Amino acid sequence: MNQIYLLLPLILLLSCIIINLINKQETINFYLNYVATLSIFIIYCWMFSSLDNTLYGSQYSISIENFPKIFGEVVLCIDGLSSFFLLLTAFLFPLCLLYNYKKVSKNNQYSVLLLLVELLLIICFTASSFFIFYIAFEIILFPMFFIIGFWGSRGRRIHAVYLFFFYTMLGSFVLLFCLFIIYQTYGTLEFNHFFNKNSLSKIEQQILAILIFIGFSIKIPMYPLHLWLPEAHVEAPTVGSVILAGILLKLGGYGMLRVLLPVCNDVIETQKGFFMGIALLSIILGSIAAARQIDLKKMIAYSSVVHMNVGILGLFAEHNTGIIAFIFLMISHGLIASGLFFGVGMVYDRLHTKNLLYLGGLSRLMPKFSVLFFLLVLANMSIPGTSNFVGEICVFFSLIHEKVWLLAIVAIASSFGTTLFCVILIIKTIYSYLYKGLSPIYDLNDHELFILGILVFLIIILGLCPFFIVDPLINYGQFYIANNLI
Amino acid sequence: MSLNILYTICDYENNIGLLFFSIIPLFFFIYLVFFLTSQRTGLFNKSYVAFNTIDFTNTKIRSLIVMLLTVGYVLTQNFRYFPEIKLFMNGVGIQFNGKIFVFQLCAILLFCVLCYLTLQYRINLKKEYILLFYFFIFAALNILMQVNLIGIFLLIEMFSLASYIIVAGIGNKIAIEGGLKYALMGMFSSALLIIALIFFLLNYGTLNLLEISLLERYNYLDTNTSNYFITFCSIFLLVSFFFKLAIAPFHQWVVDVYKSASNVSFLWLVSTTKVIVFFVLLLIFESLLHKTSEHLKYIFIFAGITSVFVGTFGGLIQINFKGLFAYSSIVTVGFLVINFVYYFENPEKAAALSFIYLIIYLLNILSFFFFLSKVQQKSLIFGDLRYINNIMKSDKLVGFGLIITFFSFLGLPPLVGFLPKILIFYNLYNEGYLITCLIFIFLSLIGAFYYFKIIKRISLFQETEITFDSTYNLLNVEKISVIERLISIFLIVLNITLIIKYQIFYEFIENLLK
Repeated sequence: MNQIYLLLPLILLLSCIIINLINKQETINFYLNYVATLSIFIIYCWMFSSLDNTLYGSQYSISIENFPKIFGEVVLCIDGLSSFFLLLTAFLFPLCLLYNYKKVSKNNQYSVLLLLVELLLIICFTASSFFIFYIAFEIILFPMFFIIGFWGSRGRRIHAVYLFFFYTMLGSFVLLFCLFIIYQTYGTLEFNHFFNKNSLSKIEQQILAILIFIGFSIKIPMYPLHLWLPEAHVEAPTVGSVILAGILLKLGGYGMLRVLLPVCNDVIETQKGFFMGIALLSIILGSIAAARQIDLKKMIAYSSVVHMNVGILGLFAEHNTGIIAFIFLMISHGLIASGLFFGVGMVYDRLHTKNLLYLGGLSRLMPKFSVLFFLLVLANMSIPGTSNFVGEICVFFSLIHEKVWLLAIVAIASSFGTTLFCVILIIKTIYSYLYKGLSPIYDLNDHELFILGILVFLIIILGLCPFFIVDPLINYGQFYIANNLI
Repeated sequence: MSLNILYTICDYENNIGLLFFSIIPLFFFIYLVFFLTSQRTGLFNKSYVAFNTIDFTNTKIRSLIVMLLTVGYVLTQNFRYFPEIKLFMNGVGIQFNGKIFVFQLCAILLFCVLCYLTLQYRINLKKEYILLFYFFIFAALNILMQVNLIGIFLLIEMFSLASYIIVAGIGNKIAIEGGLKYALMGMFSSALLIIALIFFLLNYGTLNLLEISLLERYNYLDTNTSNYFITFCSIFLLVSFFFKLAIAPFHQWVVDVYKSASNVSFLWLVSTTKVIVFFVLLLIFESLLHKTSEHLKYIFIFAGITSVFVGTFGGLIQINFKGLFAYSSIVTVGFLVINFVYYFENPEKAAALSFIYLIIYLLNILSFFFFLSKVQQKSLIFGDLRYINNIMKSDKLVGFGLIITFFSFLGLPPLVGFLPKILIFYNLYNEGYLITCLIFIFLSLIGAFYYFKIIKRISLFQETEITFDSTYNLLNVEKISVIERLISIFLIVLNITLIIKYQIFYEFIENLLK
């Protein structure tokens, strides 16, 4: 069982990568990759259903011998927390491959890079030690460099690549220093061991908390260090944006959950004001910036900033529901942002603009698309019935216990801010006047319809019946409390 | 075998003449005979015509490779039959007990690779330059067996003089200017070295490293005055070696010299000087850094930090890849030197980390020059970066290899250049030097910028005026042969997978240096 859940995906992906490099026929490569990624998704669904939700701690683990033991052994494990993110990754990659089929030049190399990203993400989420997580965290830069830099469409992509690369490297170097400190205090870098009491003084824990926060806040983009996100999302191809928004931003949140909360437990009460302040600032500025954008993708990029920071508020509110809300928000944001980027990509493929001023009246030309896109944008706005609403409401509940005035500000800022640009988006793309200069375009293909449809379907289901995910999370949160975290 | 007899009979104390009566000149004589016999040919015209052609020099270089490999084989046999050769009567203070042969094998491997790479660059070498290459080999192989500081000085002078001529002789007129600059700087540093030796002689009474180590460890005299005087003396010594290595306050000559040198002389300079001077530093530090280490720590920290600082910020505006590698060599030397800060507490670790970092840097830079030779154009004597644009369009394997080497220079994880850096950072942190650790981490991030620039030029197809095309390729008209393809694949795979065997490698070297 362990090997099937943990090693078979990696082996499948490696073999697909090798075969893609050797074989030059696109159809065979596509079917092979698609079948492999779907089977990985099925494996993870099976794993998720077979998880015991009452247990806390790693349930499936495997240790890889013959690897160098620097800062600890190489052990891969599946936890209650990582299972959600594994499901998300395994769900998104078949859609990406489906979207790319017959649309992109040099699809072989593109698929190789995508599969490499999936491999590294699986290693990231199944890592049982901080060192493996850190290594995979850094290696992901290598394929993303090529995805953004080579298949992006404009000259500004070089600038975007530079920003992406160096912001994340800055974060990872800060995390390296924190890694050393943690290794010296604990003696290991296993995530399970971080829950033990450590011998750091309050001041040291404060400094460590700030450094770890900086390191991970670059990934969840938070205000001063979010500058890479708009550029990278705009200049990347659609699938690159989907991966970035869908999963790579979640690495920051995942890291915070695994590293910051356990290690700097005593100090969060005093430091969370700073963290929540930055998150609030990001929400307000992100939503205002999104409302003034002309580029569709930049709007959605800023909206992802807003949503992730709302989750961060829930994370640092010292309550069980906050952590649950954060994780749930991350998952739902993964689905929604992916859907929005897919939609924008479909528009771009047909009309070759992302400029809001040139678009309008798509409901007449592309009815199927407009329905699904409308639902996605409503979901982005956190309308009841969608998963974002569940997450945001739980964040508000956690803030009630914390600070009520903050809740008021946050509710206004997030809900008003998001509605602003979402409404602008809907009106301008779907329901405005149709420009005569737009070329005649076809409605969605079958596979595009499937992509958007299944995402909308999942969002609505999660919004109406969130207990699929929330029940396991409640147990996880309870054990978080039981381990003297809150 | 005659080896054992020589070592049991001869007395190494203060006997410089033994240099010339030790076994290593056997190599010299063998090669000299080979070299001289080559001039005697039956057909006089042919020998005159073939005096300065490429084929002649290529055969000589190939014969040099073969000779080196046989020497390496002989040394391995020695090591097998006599594993516990003690080169010195006294084991106290000297850590290289017969395990010098392994370092000699590394040096031999390095020189084989360098000779192979000189073959790849099809330059018109004159006959006598091979002898100059030989001086490097002689110096590198003998320098580890020196007990006397004057022996060290002589060997350093030997290879420096050879390198002056190599830099000035291969290339065009700018190379001559570079050679002259290098010669002046090198001679100045040798003069400083002599002054240092004089001060050492004043203080200790001998120049024998064994005796110096004994005096350092078992000195019952008043230590205060000798401490400061020894730091004063060792500053001269260190400054002269820092000049040769191009460590930060003394780095200015490196940029001009490396830019004006041709590719081949650049190769030999970069790799051999660092290796030889690094070995010398290891030898000297094990006997010297006992009581003086407290004061010399500040020098190492200062040198390391300024080197990394200068190297990163100097390399950002370079448009010439040789200038770029000059600054990156300054950075690597900073990384090498900073490890000696904790040499007194943990000597094996310091030396092992520095050595591994050096090896991996050499691996990367040599693989870069291998790939560059496939892309060689006549104008690349100046090393302009614009001629490396868009290699991926025409030659995927070479482009991918270049990308991998540059990512390992950066320090991206699964590649080989990552682990030495992270271990150096960790050991700095562990020994308590937090701020230096932070500075190094952030400056290595900034230094990543100029490697990234090259990667961008190679792979992301920007619209530029100059792109690499086969029409510009005046020198390498042939396609890549199978062997070269295999070598390139081997280098790529090595870069990616060496990290798995890194632990074994590191422990081996740590055991050697005990």
